[in-house]
Amino acid sequence: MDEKINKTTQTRREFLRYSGSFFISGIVIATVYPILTSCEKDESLPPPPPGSAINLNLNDHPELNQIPSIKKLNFQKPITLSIIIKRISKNEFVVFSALCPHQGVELEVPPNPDGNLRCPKHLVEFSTNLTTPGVVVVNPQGVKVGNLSTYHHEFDSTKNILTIRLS
Amino acid sequence: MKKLIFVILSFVLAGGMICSRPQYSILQTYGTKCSSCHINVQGGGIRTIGGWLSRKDFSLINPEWIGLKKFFETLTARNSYLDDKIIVGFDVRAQSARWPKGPSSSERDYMLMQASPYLAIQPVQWVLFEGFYNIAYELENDKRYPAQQPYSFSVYLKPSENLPTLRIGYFQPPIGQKWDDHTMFVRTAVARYGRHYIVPDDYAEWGAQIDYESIPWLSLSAGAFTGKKLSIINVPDKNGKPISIVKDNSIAIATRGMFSPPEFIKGLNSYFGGSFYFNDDYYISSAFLGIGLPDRVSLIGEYVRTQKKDSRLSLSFTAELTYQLIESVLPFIRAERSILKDKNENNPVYATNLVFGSHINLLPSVDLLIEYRILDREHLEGYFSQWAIQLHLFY
Repeated sequence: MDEKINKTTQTRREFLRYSGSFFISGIVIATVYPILTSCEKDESLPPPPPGSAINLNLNDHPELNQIPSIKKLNFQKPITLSIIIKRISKNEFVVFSALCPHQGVELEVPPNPDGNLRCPKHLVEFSTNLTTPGVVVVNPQGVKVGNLSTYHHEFDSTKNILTIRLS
Repeated sequence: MKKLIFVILSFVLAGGMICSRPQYSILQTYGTKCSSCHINVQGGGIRTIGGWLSRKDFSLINPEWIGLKKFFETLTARNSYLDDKIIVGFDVRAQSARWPKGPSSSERDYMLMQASPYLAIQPVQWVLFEGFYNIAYELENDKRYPAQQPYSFSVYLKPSENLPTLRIGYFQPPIGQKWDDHTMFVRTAVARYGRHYIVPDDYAEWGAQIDYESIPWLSLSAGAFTGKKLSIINVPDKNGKPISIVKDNSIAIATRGMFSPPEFIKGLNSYFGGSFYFNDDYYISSAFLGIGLPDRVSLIGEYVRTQKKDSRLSLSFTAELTYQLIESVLPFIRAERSILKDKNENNPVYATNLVFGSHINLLPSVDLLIEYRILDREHLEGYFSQWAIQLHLFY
C-alpha cells in the first residue's frame, strides 16, 4: 500500500516537474524573444532633404559627353547616394538608382551603354531603354523584385549641367 | 577493429583542411586536423565515424527527462553500414534572421539554409566516393549566393599508406579555413552596397587535388580547378565596367599548407597555416591560426587578402574566442574587419562586425545557435544590429 502511495506521489511530482518546466520555458521564450528583437536596428541611407537636387557638371564627367554612354556615381556629400546615369541622345538622359530594389545590392553598369543593369547577387537585369527604364527584363532565379526607380532630372545644354531631383 | 582501421584510413585519406567548426579541433583532444572529424578534404560535410562519435552524445537536456531516451539511442546507434563500407550523415540548418529588404531596410525572415544528406562509399580500401546534395538550394531561390552550388562529389584514390591521396571531382578548392558561417568577412568582404564573394557557400568546381598527410604534424594540398563557376562573379575594372573575376575557361591553381605542432606547452592545442589560390591576375591568399586548451577555450583567427589586378583589393580579418562552459554550451565572441578598395573609386569601404553568441547542444545531434550581431559599414549612418537564431540538426 505504502509502495503504491509512494509511486503515485513520485508520478505526480514528475508530472508537475515536467509540465512546470515546459510552462516556464514557454513563458521565457514568449517574453525573451520580443525583448531580443526590440534591440535590432538598420543602418540608414538618410532620405534627401525635401526639394534637394544635385547639379552635375558633365564637363567633370567626360564619359557622359559620348552618345550613348552610361556611368555610375557614388556621392557621400551632401547625402549618401548611388546613381547610374545613361545618356541616350544629346538632350535625353535616364537617371537610375544604383541599388537593386530586391536586397539593396549595388548594380553593375553594362560594358555596352545599351546593355541592361545587372544585380550581381541574383543576376536580375533591368532595362536601360528610354521607353522601359528600370523594368525587370531578366530574372533567372525568379526572385520577387520590382522595377528599378528612376530620378527626375533636367538638362541645361548651354551650361552642360544635369540637375537630378532627389525628392 | 574494422572501425578502428576505417577511422585511421579516413584520417589518412582525407586531407588537411580545417573543420567546418575549427574551434572543435582545438577544444577536443582528437588532434587539430580536419580529417579527425570529416571525410571531405574541404572540412565540413560528411563526418568520419570518429567525428560522428565525438559530438553525438553532447546534450544539455537528458533525453530521458523528456521520454526520448529510446529514440535518441536508436538514432545515434550508428552512422556506418555494410562493415563500414557506407557512411551516411546530414546537416539541416534553419535560421531566423533579418534579410535586406530594398536599399536601406531589412525584415525578419525564416530560411532553410541547408538540407544536405551525405553519403560516402568505400568499396575497397584504396577508393572512397563521397558527395552531398543540398535540397534547400532549390527551395530558397532568393537567398542563394553567386557561385553557390547545390551539390559536390569526389573520389579519393590512395594506393598506399605513405603515398599522397589523389582527389578528383566537383568540389571546393583548398582555400583558408572552412567555417560554418558563410557570412564571415574572410569569405565575403563588405562592398559599398552588398558583398564581394571570396569563397561562396558550397562553392565547387571541377578539379583534381593531391593531399599529403603522411607526416602527422603536416598537411599539404595542391590542386588545379576550372574557373567556370567563379566567373559568374564580376568586379569593376578601373573604369567602373564589370569584368569577370576569372575567365570561365580558365584554370586555377590552389595550394595549402597546415602545421599541427606537437604540444609546445603541456595541454595546449594549436595549428597554423596558409593557402594561396591564383587564376591569371586574381589571387586569394590566406593565413590562419588556432590555439587553445582542450575542453576550455579556443582562439581562432584568419586573415584573407584578395586582389584582381587593376580592379579590386580586399583585406579581411576574423578572430573568434570560444569558451567551453560545459560540453554542450559553447559561448563565443567574434570580431571582424573588412577593407575593400576598387580601382575606380577613391574611397575604400571599411566595415566592422561583432558577434556574440553561443552554440547550445539542446539534445543529441541538435544544436541551437543564438547570435547577436552588430555590423558597422562606415560609409552609412548608424549601424545594423540583429538577433539570429539557427537550429542545426547534424548527423
